[in-house]
Amino acid sequence: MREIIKNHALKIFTASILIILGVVGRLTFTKFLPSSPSIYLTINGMTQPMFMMDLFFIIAIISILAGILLKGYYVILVPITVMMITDIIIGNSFIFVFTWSGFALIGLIFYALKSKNKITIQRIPLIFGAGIGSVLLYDLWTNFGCWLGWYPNNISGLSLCYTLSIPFTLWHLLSTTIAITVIVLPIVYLKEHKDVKINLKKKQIEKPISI
Amino acid sequence: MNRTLLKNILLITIPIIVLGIVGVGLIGTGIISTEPFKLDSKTINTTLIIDYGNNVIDTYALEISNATVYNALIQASNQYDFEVRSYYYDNYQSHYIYSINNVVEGKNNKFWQYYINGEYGIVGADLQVLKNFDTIEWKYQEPKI
Repeated sequence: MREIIKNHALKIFTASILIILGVVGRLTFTKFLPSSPSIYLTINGMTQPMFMMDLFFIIAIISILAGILLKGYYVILVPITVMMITDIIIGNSFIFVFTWSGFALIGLIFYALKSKNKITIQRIPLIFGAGIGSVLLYDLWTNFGCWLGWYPNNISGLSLCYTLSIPFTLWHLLSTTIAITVIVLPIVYLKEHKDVKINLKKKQIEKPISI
Repeated sequence: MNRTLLKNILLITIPIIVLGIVGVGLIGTGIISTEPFKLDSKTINTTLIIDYGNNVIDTYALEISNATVYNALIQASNQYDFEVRSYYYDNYQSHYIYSINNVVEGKNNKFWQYYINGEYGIVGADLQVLKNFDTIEWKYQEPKI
């Protein structure tokens, strides 16, 4: 019983830290966003900056960490709570249905991989692959929502919607890949090595008994 | 060399190389460039319509070079003496117009949005180049997107 309470307390503590980081990050990091570089993308006669900067990567990393560090309902609870609190402050439209569920999906993808013991430092390409795949799924899903709500509901509207979203997707891919390298990989490494230390300690205790 | 390490190196380097080749191809075909667009330095004629959403509509005829939707609005504001207020978003490389002639966005959920030849403007006002005889409309209305 004590063990169960301790486990829950640890989960609640980790979830709270992630929620606080996500909320503070989303609300305060706007001013730290870099300027869009002078690189342009011309598709279908439309010229746009190649990267449109936003703070997607902050919530994406929080969702990934929730998937790696937590279990069960906490995995989806963390990104949804971060989005709910910040959307109440910033404001949002019906698109919240797609953005909230999109971030929950990112958390679930990483939770599924962790459950199969695939989130290890020996599988760095898989972590990057899952990150890139999650970003693409998120953008496909949320832009589908944009098309439903704001664009003409025909094929040309869909094509226009996805074309205009390319600079955002490119930035999401770039920023999330960098954030995975800087934040997620060190945490995965530390988590693995913490487990190794625990195992070593156990062995040291067992040693005198075996003698 | 450890087989897993070699596999990991290949799984990371191959996509980077492929990405590099695709990038070079896109630069070669002009899809990716460092020039936002080629602005026409010769003078063109455009019509600028400002619809305040209360049946008041102003129409201006402009002669403009290096014409974008944003430049046309700013030129009209200087030429005909009305105020335009905007924020510049570095991360989107575009101005966001929030007030024209002291009609500020937000009242009754209305915002300033532009149309070009009747079509809703889908890129930032700075990024929309104008052609001769284009008609720009700025409408104070509920959001379209």
